[in-house]
Amino acid sequence: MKKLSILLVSLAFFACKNDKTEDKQSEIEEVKVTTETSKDETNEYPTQVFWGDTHLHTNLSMDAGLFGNRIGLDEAYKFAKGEEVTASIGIKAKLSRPLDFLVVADHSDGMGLFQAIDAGDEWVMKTTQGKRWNGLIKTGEGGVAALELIKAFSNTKLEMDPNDPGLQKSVWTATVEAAEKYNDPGKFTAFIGYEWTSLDKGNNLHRVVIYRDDADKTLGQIPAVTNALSPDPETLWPQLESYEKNTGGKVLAIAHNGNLSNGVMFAETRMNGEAFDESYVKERIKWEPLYEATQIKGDGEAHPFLSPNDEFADFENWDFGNLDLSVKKTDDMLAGEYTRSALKLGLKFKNELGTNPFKFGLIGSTDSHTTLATADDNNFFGKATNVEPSPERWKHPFVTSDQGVIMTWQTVASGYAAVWAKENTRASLWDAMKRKETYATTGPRMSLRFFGGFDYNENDLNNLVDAGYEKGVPMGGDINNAGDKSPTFITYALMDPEGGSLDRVQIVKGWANADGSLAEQVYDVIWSGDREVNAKGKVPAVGNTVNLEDATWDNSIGSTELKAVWTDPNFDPELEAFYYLRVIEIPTPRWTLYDKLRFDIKDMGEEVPMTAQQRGYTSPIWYSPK
Amino acid sequence: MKKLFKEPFFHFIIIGIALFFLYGLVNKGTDTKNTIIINDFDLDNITSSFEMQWKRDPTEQELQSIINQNIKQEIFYQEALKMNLDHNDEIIKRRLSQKMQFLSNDIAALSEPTDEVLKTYYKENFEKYLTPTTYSLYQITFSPDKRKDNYKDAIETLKQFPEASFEEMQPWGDKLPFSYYFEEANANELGLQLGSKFRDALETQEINNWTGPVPSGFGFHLVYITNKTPPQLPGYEKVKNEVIRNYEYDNQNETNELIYQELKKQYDIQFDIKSKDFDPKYVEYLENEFNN
Repeated sequence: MKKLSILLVSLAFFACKNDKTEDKQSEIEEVKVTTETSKDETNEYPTQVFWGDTHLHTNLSMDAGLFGNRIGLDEAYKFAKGEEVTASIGIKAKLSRPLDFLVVADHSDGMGLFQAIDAGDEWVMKTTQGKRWNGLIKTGEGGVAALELIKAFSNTKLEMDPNDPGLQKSVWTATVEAAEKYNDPGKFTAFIGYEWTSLDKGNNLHRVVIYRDDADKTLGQIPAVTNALSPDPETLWPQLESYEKNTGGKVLAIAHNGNLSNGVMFAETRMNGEAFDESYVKERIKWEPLYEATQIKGDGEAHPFLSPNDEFADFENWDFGNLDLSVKKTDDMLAGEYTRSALKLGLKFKNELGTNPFKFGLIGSTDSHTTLATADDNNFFGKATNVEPSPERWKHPFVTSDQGVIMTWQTVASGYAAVWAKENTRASLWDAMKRKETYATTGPRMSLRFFGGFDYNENDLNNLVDAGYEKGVPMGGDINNAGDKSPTFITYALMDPEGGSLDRVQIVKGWANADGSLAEQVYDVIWSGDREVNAKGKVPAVGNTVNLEDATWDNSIGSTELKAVWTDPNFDPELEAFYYLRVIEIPTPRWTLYDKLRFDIKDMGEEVPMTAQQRGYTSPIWYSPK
Repeated sequence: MKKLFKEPFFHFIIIGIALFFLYGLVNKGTDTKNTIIINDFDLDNITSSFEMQWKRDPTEQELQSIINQNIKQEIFYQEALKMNLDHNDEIIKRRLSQKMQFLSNDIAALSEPTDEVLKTYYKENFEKYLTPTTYSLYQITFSPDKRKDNYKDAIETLKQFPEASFEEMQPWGDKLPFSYYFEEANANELGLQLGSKFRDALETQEINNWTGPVPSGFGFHLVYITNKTPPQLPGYEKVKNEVIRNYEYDNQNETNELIYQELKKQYDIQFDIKSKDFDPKYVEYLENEFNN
């Protein structure tokens, strides 16, 4: 019936289209010329923001499988591209909006295989069956071979031993092939990548490795799976280096949200206990230009212990312990695992060693183990298959140990990676990641621009992209040598058209004082409505309009668009500093509220938050006196 | 730790260790020895996988240490098998079942579809390949940021200038970073930029007239649609890659199911349920379902 109605509609439109538009035609042509000229047709700068997930697991990851994930690479890409798939628990799943790119970051592992029959490998041709089936395939009768094979397989009359090492074809090959299959330059980018899964005594030090290249270079690169050799990320870098050297390709690594590393992610010494040296700091930032600031296992931008004056720092923090909760978190660990404090520590090492090892840009990603890259609160498929939508999931203990318990309601529907690039291709997106023209959000697709320089003024807001690039640098860039000027910044935020409106735009500044101490300050730059800065120097809270009975809210208390030029009022040209944008939405329903209403849950306790202020963090712009 | 003691896997390990020692005691007298052969192939494998990761040959010391790890793993593995430690181990079950899944995926890939098969698939599933509706349109935005009542302003502007030319209408809107004119923009792209509300509302707007207010994620709009092209079915060649992808995916799922059903035929599945929580009729129903 559906097919028929679409056809009928099509026919109806065809019928009425032709006779109506004739007379307006000349007028349209004229106007088109005048409007087109103002558009940036040269595409000199990145004019598009692309949305993706850099950290997704499918059932190829052993842990994902153990959680019950039964769907794989095809489903991961289909889902990211906006198609409907069936989730492992059997319900239909679809993104309300497709993503532009995806990095399937599974753990690699060897696996037996049948393509060898097709290839006529020696060990196959040794058997009568193998020879016969190979022949059938060659003569175009693969279907017959397949049926025979199924029969033989089912009756265990297979002459070949599926565990023969000759049968080994790695999951890596499957991963690379799927990425090639779904990569669609200009429309959808399927990056080739994997997760380097380093755990040291339960402290999460994972890195997602992303290649810029296609199968020709990457297929032969068996991922550096974690092995008995070492969990030290320093052992990953030489492998990335040798990849580039041997293939002429390019690769980068994104450090996993450090909030479950118990301070090890940004420890001030190397893992072997030695002090940082010039070589270490250079290598680290060379291979790890991006950092995952937010994901399902907690938001990692800031922590209230580290930033007591920041009223927004207390947001979805997971500060209970390390990944398996084998060791409880203590306050002294926090500085080594939150984005802002790591950026500050980086300045200290810049002063000491000449290079900033933590000069990273920011992205968000899900780290979902469900094959489904969901970060929207109203469509959240959870961290793993055992906590896909169900009336019980909120109270399922997600991690349990003798040190404590993390409940599933504490998982966060977060986040996505936004990348400013010229086109949707592996090369263009990867290059943007490398230059850090990226930002993190906890899910919403807000458009954020952030430019730094010394010469911006209010007029530049009329043409902020051109002015931004011409007179300064975008997010991820550097400004130097201020002389007698103070740096100025263009800040721009446009709300997600499906999300909450904007509460405020802030600039977070961090710097290293001459005495070696590190400092930070959060500035409210521009906000919605006519709220006035209070005695404490803060813009008061925007309010909360969420109706807990039906999960609706009123966008009128926030702004759709916020833009401003901001000059640092407390600038010292002699000090190393960084600035990044934090944009905060008005409160909207959290996934727990949607679950509560959808499943009519009666016993969800007071401790479970029902609303949240979604947010975005841009890559910093760094100032250096040199 | 308490939790651990309840884990069946943990029990297995404990029992396993106990058996291990028991086995040692019982076997003291006997002199039979197992053999582990490390041949050229194994050494080749070890060195080449080392080389793949480290881009150099292992040193003698490294080689010895890897061989030692392998031997240790093999011995533990063999002994564990002897003690049936693999039985009822959920991890091993899943792993092996996953391997079967891989085999079945590869079987599916063996039969390469002909063009004819693909074309039939394309025709049967034409809805998957329809392009979205495309529009050429002018729009002006009435933003709540800049107006007390943006909805009312939009209505009044439309009332006042229903016949306005494109040049005349443009200045009445607010400046937002969207084009005034969208040429041949597809509904999905418009939805991503301006919100699904806008995309959906366009469907019912008159063409060749200023209409509205049309809601979006950013306020209300007056819209003039100059051209609307309904969903079209692109030619087979244009979407061939996508057709292949979809066909292969469906084929893989069908093969998986076929293999499962074939294998299941060789099993008699019985339910031995004594609990009163389950209705015997339901159990009977299940038994029928799974044996058919």
